[in-house]
Amino acid sequence: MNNAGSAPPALAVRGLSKTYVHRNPLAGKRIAVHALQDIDLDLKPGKTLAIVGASGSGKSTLARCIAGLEAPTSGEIRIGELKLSAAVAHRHVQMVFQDPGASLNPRFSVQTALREPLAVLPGWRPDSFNISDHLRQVGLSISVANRLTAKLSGGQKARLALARALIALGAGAGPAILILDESLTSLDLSVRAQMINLLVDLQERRALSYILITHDLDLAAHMGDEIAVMSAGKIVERRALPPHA
Amino acid sequence: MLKRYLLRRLLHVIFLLASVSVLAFLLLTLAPGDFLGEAKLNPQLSASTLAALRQRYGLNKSLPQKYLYWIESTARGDLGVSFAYDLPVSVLVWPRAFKTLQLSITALAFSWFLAVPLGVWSAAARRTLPDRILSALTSTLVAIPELALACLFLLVVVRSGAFHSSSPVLPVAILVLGALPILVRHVRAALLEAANQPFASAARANGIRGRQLWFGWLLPAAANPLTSLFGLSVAGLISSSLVVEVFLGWPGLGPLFLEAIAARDLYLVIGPVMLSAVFLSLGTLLADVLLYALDPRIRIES
Amino acid sequence: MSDVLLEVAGLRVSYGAGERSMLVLRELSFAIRSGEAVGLLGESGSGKTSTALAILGLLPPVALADGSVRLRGQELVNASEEEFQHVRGAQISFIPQEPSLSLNPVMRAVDHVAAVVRAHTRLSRRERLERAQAALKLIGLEDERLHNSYPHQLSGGQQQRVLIAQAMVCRPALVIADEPTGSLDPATEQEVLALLRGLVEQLKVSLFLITHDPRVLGAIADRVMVMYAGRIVESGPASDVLQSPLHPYTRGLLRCLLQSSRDAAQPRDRHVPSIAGPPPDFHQLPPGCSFEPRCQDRMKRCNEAEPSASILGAREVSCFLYEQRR
Repeated sequence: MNNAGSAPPALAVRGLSKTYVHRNPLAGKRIAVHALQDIDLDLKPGKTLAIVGASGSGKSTLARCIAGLEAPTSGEIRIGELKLSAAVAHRHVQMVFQDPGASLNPRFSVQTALREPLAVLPGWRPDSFNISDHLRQVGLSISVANRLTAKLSGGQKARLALARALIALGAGAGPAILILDESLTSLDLSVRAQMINLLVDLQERRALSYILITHDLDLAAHMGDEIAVMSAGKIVERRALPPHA
Repeated sequence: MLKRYLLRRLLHVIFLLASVSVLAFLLLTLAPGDFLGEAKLNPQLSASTLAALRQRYGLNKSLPQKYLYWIESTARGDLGVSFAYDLPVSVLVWPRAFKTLQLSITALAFSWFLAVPLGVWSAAARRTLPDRILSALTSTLVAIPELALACLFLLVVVRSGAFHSSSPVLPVAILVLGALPILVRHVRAALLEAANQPFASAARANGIRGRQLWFGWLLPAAANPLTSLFGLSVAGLISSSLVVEVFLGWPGLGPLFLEAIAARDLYLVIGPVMLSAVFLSLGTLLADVLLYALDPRIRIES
Repeated sequence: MSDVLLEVAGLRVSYGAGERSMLVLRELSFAIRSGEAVGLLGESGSGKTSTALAILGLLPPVALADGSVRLRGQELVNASEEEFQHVRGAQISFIPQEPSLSLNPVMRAVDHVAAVVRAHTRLSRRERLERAQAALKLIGLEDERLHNSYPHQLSGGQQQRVLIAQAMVCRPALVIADEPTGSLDPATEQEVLALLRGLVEQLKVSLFLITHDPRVLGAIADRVMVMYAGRIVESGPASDVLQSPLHPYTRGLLRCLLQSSRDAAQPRDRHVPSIAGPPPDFHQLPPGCSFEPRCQDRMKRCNEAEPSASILGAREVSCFLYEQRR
């Protein structure tokens, strides 16, 4: 094992706060909503942080801030040694949403959907794209390459969404963080089991860091190395779980 | 809550009217020629008479001065003065505006009262034969230009002597037939969209059907896009009515407007333009109020 | 033993016609008794939603139904819309999935319930509102301010309760609930399940609960039927089926559940036992048992023919492992 103790964690969050100011156009009143209050977090490579909490506790807001989709009101987010910015976020943090099918353009074929995250990067050439590797990585057969995403089953869509996130994370150096925001919640049990196994294997192979947001405590305890409980924008409890085999 | 909202909308409207007035002034004065353009060619008028006339009508003033004069005159209630008639614009325009409103409001009411049931019915009966016939009819009506429709009607009326030429039935009928097809299509589309939502099948699963489903459950949900359409239909009707009035000789703003433009009668042109803008703004304001009343998502902060 | 309320016999439903037709429900037969809570356990594509739609006569126009569904003797398969008018909401009601999408955004909670009353009775507006308010209170929404709230102002649990009130207000004999707790967090899920169980016990309503989550059924079902590829592969008392499953599919499915307790001393393996292979494709079902490609206990004859139901006491299984020799 390398000298993991001295390397910076994959993700470090310090004093993160996010406040929304709501102005109702008809009433003219301003309401401040403190979605996140002074959050501190660390996440090492290859580890999973499970965040649990009731609806409205701020879990999704936290995820969006870490993914660079929202700008925090104050506080700092570092990915490895770099401060979080749009470019850093795109290559190092990816998010998979609750309804994986909804994040896929139904008019795209599987192949187009997989190319999309790469096409935004400068200097990319189509012939450097090996689709069967990417499909195999997530357990999809090559026969679905030309199928429209709308025609995929729920499990297939979940795998495809995962493949897209992995492609965007790339095989480059640096931390790779995958945020799973209730992504396993709506799946059938047997499909969910397969996805869990897939995620576990990928994590071991590629030292991915996962942030698993869920309200299923069993799932959090199963997959997490650490559990953080959120309530009203704060982390109210933290617990480390026994290590994995 | 509603008061503040209305107040802000009112400010909007005032701003809009001011912009329209400036724009209208600009367009008219930038167009070549003015009221006395033709008179210049009349050999019986001497140059000094012309100059005196110019002075009298204030035509030698600059654009901002003319505009200020108009503002001042409007504040007095005169809305400027007509060169051709030598009367305040207000005296000429109010009775005409009343006649135009007669047509527009009647046509608005009729077209919506017909469009909503027809639209609902065609959505409920979609893909059946009667619906296809209605679709064909509306497509045909949309394709026929209003002027052609007016001609056709006029022909029929003159031949049969059915309606008196001063009766509003003919112009209203033409306006309604012009607006109806588009409204029906939009109502149908809005209802079909609502019918495809999960809350529609959930309602059906518990026995809600027929008129109760379409009018009592789906139509309210489709109200949002339809109120925007309502505002637009007011605009469309006012424009159409000006044309129809000219064609049928209905004494509304239309013929006066046309005449004034041809004569370059500055303030008499501005008058109807502003009045149309006012009617339009009132129409959209009404639509906004309706939306506020009908859609709880807008009315209540979450 | 209470009497049979709903009797399904040989129900077949296919989508599409001719070459492209796909048999989605294949010879379904089961019965639901008065006051009984029956669970239908199945994953996406098993045909569970089509079963509910077939009972309510809400299959899409491209579907063809065959067989028999009798409600107290009245035949429902291919019945007319007029006949269904008296059934839907009044004798058999429906609690749909996704509460936030199944409520009309411009109608208040009380309007939803009152609308169902209006569909089935001739009461005055005031009487309808009163009945609606009573139903909402029965379901646990006591505060009248909630009654006048719109869906976007209600929480997930409250929205679900409005749907339940809608389904209960006309006192149906059978309530069909499709994934009633799908999008809810665990605490609210428990509340809703307790509520449904309470309705079954106190009002003697029969409940037909369709879900892919066995944990939901463990809490409230009396009997459980397991569905795979359009057929019922196992059925029996809930505790029996869920704790000692017989069919290889049921066993595989229940193994996918995560263990909630863990021995802290042992290092854990994060892999979960799962069922190998992809879900069944209705266009290309195998010649024999439809679960055979994924089955760990498959035998040679599983590929050749479909097993018929074997009866073991109060339980039934369609699997050659249990075939009784005569």
